[in-house]
Parts: sequence; C-alpha cells; structure tokens
Amino acid sequence: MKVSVWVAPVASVIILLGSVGVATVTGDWVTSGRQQVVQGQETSSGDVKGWMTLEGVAQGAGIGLDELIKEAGLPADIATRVPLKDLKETLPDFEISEVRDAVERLS
Amino acid sequence: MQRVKRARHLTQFVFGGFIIVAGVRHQLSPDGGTASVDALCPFGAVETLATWIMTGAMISKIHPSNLVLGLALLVGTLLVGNAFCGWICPFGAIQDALSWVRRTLHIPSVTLPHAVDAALRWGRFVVLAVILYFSYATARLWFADYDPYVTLFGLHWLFEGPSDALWIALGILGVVVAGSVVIDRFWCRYLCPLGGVLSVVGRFSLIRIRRSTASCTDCTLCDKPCPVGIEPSKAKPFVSADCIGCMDCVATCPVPHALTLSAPVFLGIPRPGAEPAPTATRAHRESVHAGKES
Repeated sequence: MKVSVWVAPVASVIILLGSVGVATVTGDWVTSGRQQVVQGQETSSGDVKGWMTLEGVAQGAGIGLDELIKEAGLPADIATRVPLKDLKETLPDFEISEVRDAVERLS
Repeated sequence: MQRVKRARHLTQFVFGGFIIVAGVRHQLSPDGGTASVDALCPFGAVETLATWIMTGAMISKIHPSNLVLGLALLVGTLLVGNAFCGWICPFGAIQDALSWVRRTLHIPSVTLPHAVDAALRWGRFVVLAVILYFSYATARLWFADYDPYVTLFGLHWLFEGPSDALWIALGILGVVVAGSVVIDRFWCRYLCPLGGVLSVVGRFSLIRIRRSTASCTDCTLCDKPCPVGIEPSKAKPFVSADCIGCMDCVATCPVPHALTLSAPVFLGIPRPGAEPAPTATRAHRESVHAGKES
C-alpha cells in the first residue's frame, strides 16, 4: 500500500514532540539533575553534586555547617557559598567525595 | 515534491535552532537547571541502557529526558522508519549545510570505491561498541568528551577557556567537518553510533521506501540526491536500512510510483500483491533515458 511521503517525517516529529509533551504532563520530562535533587532538601551523601554549596549540603543533610567542614577535613575559613566543583581552584587537593563521605558519616 | 525538500530544510532549521538556543541558555545559566544538549539527545538512552538495566541508575549527565527521547525515537522508527536523521538531527542538518557549501563553491566531492564505502560503514558499530563499553565501565557520559554534536552545540568552545580535552574534541569535530565537506553526511555514513542503532531498528520498520521493479526505468536519477549514498535505484525492493528518510529520492524520481513509501512491511518482506502497477511505458522509459544522456 502506497503511503504519502509526508507520513514518515510528520509522524516522527509528532511522536517525538508528543512524547515530550506527555512526559512533561506526567512530570517525567526531567532534563537536569537539579530538577531531581533540590539543594537544601533531604540531601543524602549520594545526592551531593558539584553544583551544590557546602551550605546547601549541610542544610539538606540536616547537619551543622561547621560540623560538616570539620568532618570533611576542610579549612575553617573555606567559602561555603561556592559550588563544590569550584572549590578546587582554592584547594587543589579537594575532592567532592570528601564531602560525600563526611555526610555519610554524620547522617 | 520540492515542497518536501523545503519542508525538510525548514524542519532541520527549527530543530537546529532550538538546540543552539538550549546550548546558549545552559551556558549562560549553568546553575539554573536548564537542559544541556546532552539531555536533549536520544542517544543518551542508548549510552545509559546497560547501566540502567543492571543497576536501575543512569550514568552521570543522563536524565529521564534522554530515555523519553530514546523511546520516542525507537517507536517512531519502528512505525514509520527513520526520519529522525533526515529531518530532525541537528548534526545531520549541519552536514547537509556543509554539502550545500561544497556544491555552491564547486568543491569536488569524494566518491569512495563501493567496497571501501561498505567496509567503512561498519565503523558506526565500532564506535557504538566502544561507547557502550566505556559508558558502562566508567558510569559516566564518557562519549561527551569526544562527541562532535556536544562539542559543536554544547558551545564549550565559546564559553569556556581552552583545555586539553577541548582541543581533542575540537580536533575530532574538525575531522568530521572536513569529511562532511567532501563526502555527504560523512559522520552519518561511517561514524554515527545512533545511526548504527537506527539502521538495525529500521530493518523492522512497518513503512519503508520501495522501488517498483515494474515501473522503474533504471534512470538512476534517484541516486544522486541521496545524502548517504545507498543507491535507491538498486533497491530490491526496499532501500537500505541505512536510509535517513529524507525523501529526496522519492522527490526526485521522474516516474510516478516507481519509488514510494510502502506499508505495511514486515521484517523487510514485501507484502504479497503489493507491487504497484507499472506506470512507465516503453516510450516513457526511452524519454527518461534520453533526458539523462543529454
């Protein structure tokens, strides 16, 4: 059976965009980790991401900021409102895993 | 049929523009949770598939959006064939644009020997295997460091300072761009891992382009506009599953019903009695050939 040449491209676009639409309505259209893990809300060690700050991690994990800094072995005067991924610029040996491990131990 | 070509280019322009806007937005507000170009690529679903099946988690930088797009692409390809590559993929659109630049500047194209071309097409599966292995082994979006789509549309080259990783990525992109200038859809033909996946899935499409052996005059005019060089004139009766669904061959064919979209197709097997009635008379064939030779 002959089919119009328009069927394939039109259907492909409709299926693609329609899936995005359905996923948006159902809440499954998530394009960023920050939509899934909101800083400051119930943060576990596995939720700690590079874009988070020490303040946000402490708040989300329900632990004191000073306690977190001490447990992670970080300097007391470390910037607490800078994304963790940017802390390497001031602390070359810093690894995000240190914060994750600290949250794990304190939780 | 020129409407089909114009509609395709317009569709490519719209999706390409959308991806560029998404890339710019993500670069300008990296903390705002806007979508990265990684999150808008259906291939991410393939990259995370093994990890997702084994552990239930996705590799880093892959999000549910990738799974949605991957599933939509799978369903769409099974139902109506692969039109994603020809109509939607922004990187495919860039290659089409480079081909147009070549033609406009009268730069000679490169035609590889058939055997070499056929062998090189397996490169897509080599790339796919490497990506799948390292994605699973590292549990991260390993290919993002080398993916020319991410390199180009992620705009790291524009917003970030130089780094060794960026230079490597730009080198790969440069090779692909240079190849795409002299060979139509160079990346799609020989290297695209998603294209490799879709060429397998496309074999099971319910709708495929079919050549009517009764109507076809063997003028081979349909071969010239094919961006991926799969020679629709030799389809027996369905064109290769490497078809990107651009419809340029159907739009170019001078004989009514010689090349058509045919349905339903089950596992590449023509439906009995579905061969369209011959439309080309002997006189018509001779006139088509005469036109081709002049």
